[in-house]
Amino acid sequence: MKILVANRGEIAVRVLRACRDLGFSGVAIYSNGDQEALHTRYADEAICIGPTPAAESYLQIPAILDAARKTGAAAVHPGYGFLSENADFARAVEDAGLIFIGPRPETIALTGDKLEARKAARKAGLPVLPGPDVPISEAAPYELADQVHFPVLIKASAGGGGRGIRLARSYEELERMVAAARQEAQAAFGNATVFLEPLVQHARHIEVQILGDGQGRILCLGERECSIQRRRQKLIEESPAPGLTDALRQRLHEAALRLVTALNYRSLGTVEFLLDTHGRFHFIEVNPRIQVEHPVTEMVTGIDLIRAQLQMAVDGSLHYTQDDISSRGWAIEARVLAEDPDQGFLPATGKITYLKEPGGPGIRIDDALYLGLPISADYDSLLAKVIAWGEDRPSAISRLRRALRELQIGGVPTDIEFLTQIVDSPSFLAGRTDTTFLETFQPAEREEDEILEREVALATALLAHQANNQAIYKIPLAGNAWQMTAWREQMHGDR
Amino acid sequence: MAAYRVLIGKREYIVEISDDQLLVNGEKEQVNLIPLNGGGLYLLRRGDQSKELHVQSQGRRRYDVTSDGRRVVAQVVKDRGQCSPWGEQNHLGDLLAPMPGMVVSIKAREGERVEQGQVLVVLESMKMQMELRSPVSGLVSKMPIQFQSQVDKGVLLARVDQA
Repeated sequence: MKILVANRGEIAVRVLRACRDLGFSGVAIYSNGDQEALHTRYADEAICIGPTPAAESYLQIPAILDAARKTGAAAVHPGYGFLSENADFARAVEDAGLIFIGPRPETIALTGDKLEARKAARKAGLPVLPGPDVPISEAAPYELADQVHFPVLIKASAGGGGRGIRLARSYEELERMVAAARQEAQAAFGNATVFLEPLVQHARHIEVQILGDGQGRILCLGERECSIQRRRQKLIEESPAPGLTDALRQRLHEAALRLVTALNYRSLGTVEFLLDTHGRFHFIEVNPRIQVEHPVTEMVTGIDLIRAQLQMAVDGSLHYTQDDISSRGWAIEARVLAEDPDQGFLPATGKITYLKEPGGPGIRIDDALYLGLPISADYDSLLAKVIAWGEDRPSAISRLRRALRELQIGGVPTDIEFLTQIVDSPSFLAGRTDTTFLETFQPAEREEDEILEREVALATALLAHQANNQAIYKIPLAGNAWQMTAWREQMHGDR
Repeated sequence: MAAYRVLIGKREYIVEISDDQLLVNGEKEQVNLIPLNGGGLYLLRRGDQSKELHVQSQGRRRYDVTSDGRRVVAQVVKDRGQCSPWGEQNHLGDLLAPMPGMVVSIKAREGERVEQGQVLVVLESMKMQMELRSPVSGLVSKMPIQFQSQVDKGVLLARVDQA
């Protein structure tokens, strides 16, 4: 069995690893800018499909199908992002006689239209947020405004990944925010249709992982809590969701199963809910693909989701029954991003000049990093996912904290320090998280900061002094070691 | 003897280096700074403690240091009393592109009065739109960019003369 992975970065490496575990051959595709990328080396074959911009490569359906034809691949895995939620792509893959490793094209089309998905969920008996299920296709939202209470969310109907979403706090803000959401939706999805949904204050984001065989059999693999988000992008995720009663957890799982059963769902998928402060949950959307945060589910269930997805796609069988699935312990994932904390966490670029990955019990790293990797603005800013497992939530948190301190990435600013501050915060430790967590989050000043600062002052003053003297005496590069050794001797001599 | 002021956040440290001793804020220190890989990785041995520091020079004696999951940016200033770092300072009201991207919206014109924090330019990069705001209040004296043009990191997007 030969599988083409229509993606890049850590998720391409992740899928190719599952191929290796199953003894399948893997085909990578890459853009000109990704010639040296790690995923090309994890594959048995790698095909260049076009120039660096994603629109000319990773989003080019004909080029990807050509690569599949050329290599004789029998199936295509879309990963997440790029074409993973594009029904036309899934259809084109199937029309070419290949297996699309994901839901049926019509399922992707339905879940991709958030308004249609809301209707399907309501029909299946799920609680759905009230709101006029009317698309705002022209910038004239006034007639709908009296049907909703402010604050209201404006969401892209074709949306995903937190893009094309705006918040309007008042009638006065509505027009401006609708225009902004429409502009972003048009740019990101080629579709400017938006709709209104009431904002659930202090909601938690909880999602349920399912795997279906498209023949009516569906497995539930538990839930994930993904409330810690910045700019509507998830930052820290965990499984199970903290603080749920068994009854509530059961009802969430049952609701998700009701919907995907009604859709006769095939492959992996996630049903997303908002949990309000009264313990009521509301359906928001279905993600018809593998998700970035899938490793936390794998850590607690022990099931390799992508391997199960590949097996199901190839032989049509789920290989597990619901009785085989149980959750043990706790898993938490932190997303390490190329972001500059000094620039308000704007995405940053650079080149990886140093890399040290954490290890030890309970730690898993999913990434596609290597020394010398350029971090460009062409693709997303995810550098690595650090996942920690522990027997309970406190031990998972301790391990995650340890791993984040061990992880060293040089050459590009990252959010690692910010992640450690979140993980160390009392409200995170207490499991008191909701989607507004980071809006009010203030990292505590650490006592050790002054010690570290003093050490940094020492080190950088020595380096500046050395650079200074080199400039004066023009000591050649080879003199570096001597210079530093001399320093060592002097410091020892001081003793 | 050479003295350096190291600015870290709101604090400053005076490091005095001479042939026979090293002082931080007047206190004697015993350290070894040992390069480990020639790529910015150092072992700082201070008394009985060893710490790994990864140091990236950002030019102009500005260093980005990470250790133990924490990150510290240090600006070394030559000699006590001299306040400005090596090299020239940027104009206070300069808005520079924080990363490469495409100009998708220009929200102010040359000669226009703007407030600090007002959005001047919207840049699209890494599939995200970023609203870039005026660093100061004043008059826009330069706007050397075009709608839908591609800009590199560090390029001047707008200059605001402080009023």
